[in-house]
Amino acid sequence: MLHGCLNNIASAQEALYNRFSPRMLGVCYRFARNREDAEDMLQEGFIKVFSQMHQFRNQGALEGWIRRIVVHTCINVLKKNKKFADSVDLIHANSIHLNENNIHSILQAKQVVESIRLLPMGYRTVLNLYAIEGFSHKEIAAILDIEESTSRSQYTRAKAMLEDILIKKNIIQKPRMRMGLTALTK
Amino acid sequence: MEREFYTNDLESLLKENADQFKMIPSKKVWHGIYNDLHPGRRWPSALMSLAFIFSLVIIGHLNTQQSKHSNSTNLQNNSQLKGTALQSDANIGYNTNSENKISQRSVIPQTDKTEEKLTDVAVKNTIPFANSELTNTEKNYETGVINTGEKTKNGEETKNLAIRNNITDLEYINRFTSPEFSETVISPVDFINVNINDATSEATNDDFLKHNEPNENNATSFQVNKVFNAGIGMEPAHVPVLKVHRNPNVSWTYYLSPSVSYRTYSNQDANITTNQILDKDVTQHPSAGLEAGTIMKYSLTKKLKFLWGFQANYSAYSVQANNIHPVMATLLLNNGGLPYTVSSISFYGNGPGSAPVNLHNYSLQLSLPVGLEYKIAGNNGVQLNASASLQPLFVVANGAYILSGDKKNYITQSSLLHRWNMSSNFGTFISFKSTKFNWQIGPQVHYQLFSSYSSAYPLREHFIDYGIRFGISKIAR
Repeated sequence: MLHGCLNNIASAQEALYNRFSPRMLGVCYRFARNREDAEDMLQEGFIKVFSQMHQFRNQGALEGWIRRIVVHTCINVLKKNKKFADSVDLIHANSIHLNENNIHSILQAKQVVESIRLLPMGYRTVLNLYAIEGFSHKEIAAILDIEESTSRSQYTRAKAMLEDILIKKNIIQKPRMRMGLTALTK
Repeated sequence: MEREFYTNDLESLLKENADQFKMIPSKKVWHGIYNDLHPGRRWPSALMSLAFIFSLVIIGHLNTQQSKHSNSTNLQNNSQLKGTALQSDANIGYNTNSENKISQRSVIPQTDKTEEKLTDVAVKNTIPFANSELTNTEKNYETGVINTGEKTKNGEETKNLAIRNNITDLEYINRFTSPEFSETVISPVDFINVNINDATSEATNDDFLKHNEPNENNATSFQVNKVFNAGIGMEPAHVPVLKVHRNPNVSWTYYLSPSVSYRTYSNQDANITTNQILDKDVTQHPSAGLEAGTIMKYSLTKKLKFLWGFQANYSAYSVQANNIHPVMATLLLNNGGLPYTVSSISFYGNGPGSAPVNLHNYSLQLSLPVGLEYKIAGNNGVQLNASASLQPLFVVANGAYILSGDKKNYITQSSLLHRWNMSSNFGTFISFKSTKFNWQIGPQVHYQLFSSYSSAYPLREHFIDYGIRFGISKIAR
């Protein structure tokens, strides 16, 4: 499959796309405002994947390499569209009210992702990069052109807000003193 | 990554759940990637789109031409007296018979020439053939066409006919045609048109003749005006013959087919449920469907015709299920031999629920039928025909409740639905020939060749419609 992709063979590219696109769309969806934006990000990301396939060294997991490209693509799209910059405002973020009607208690993974997407774009992006994609605050600061301290503070606030959302959705319970959060078993 | 990935309970929860989250992208994403990576190759949908647009343009163009002819013919048909016509704009029809009353609808432009208006026109003529005495007693109030009522003795005296009207020169050739014949003869008892160039001044047929010498463009018009003279003062033997040609090889058919729609299931994977087993687990019923369109037929031989047209098709079936407490339902999918699952919330199931619900699976399609028609038996009046066609189609709208892997729940997953497909159509029909049209009626079967779902879904669904086609056909001109 990799060999076919390197030779620009459409069937091999489609096979690779079919294998990784569902998970990568899930990644894009966490960054994007809606599904359409996520699909645009996915399309752009996979075009980069196929055009830069020769740079893959076979030294790590292919999925991780693709995911990294897709995440960077998402960030670039957000920065290009100024969607990220427009929504980093922390004051604005604090005024977010949860709509209880949107809360579903069925699919935990979907609920968690949807909960993340309830966060303001700036919070969401930092949280996605730090907590899920594993970037450091220094890397995030470089990627997003912000101060490292800003990344830290946004992450702290994002985490607090997300905890609040997840508690309201009954996905996690309120933490007791000196005890961590407990995920509810569904 | 530079940092040690610090995880607390929340972060591990987020990571764990976020990594599990998958979504099926729509087909357009891959199409976009494909077109970007392989710009030299044409995507089938582009060709289909071009063919679709081209067909619409051709059909529209041909229909427009046909409607122009129809307008002219309708004017004749509305005449109470066969062959007598009163044309719009200064075209006045005279009948060579005496004491004829002519009443018909005529298309008359307004003074600003921007729109046309249908106006009932009634003219009463008294024109003895030999004496040519003409009296018009009624006038057209809409356009100001006024007959002075002066009597004329012969063709020369028609100068006294004054027509005050804001109209311009116009050459109408009224073609008297009937579908039974490929050519028609206009005789003196048919109609005669007079064109008036200056609406506000007196005009005569002679003036018109002077200014409208026969040439290649107005030869027919000139002939008709000669008919006028012949009708009033010339010998009938001098009357020219106007021949209208048509192409009997091409005909247009408009049809409507109410149908009963259902689906058939087949499996891509032998491990998945068979059709019979599936029917035991689900309760699905046929629904009403509809098919409408137009087809151009071109005669290849005496018995064989080539078909090409445009069609809209609506197919549907109903799913009897129950409203249930929302549960997670899983679709078993397959991507290039790699099985994976997609979970989604389901509100409907086959098991016990709070209330029964009737779900509607439907597909609205636009297609381009291409096929053949064969005459099995019959004569010119009644025929038995069979036709078959292939129809590349585009799904304009659809709704599908997809059965979950365990066959217990229904999920909506639009990304699994095909937008492009192909269907086949087979039918027989009896055609009856009336004066102007050819009527058709007969049974037909419409079958969707490829599955409604993408190849990732193991179950293949094919719509099938059993219908009765009602058609009306007319020879194109």
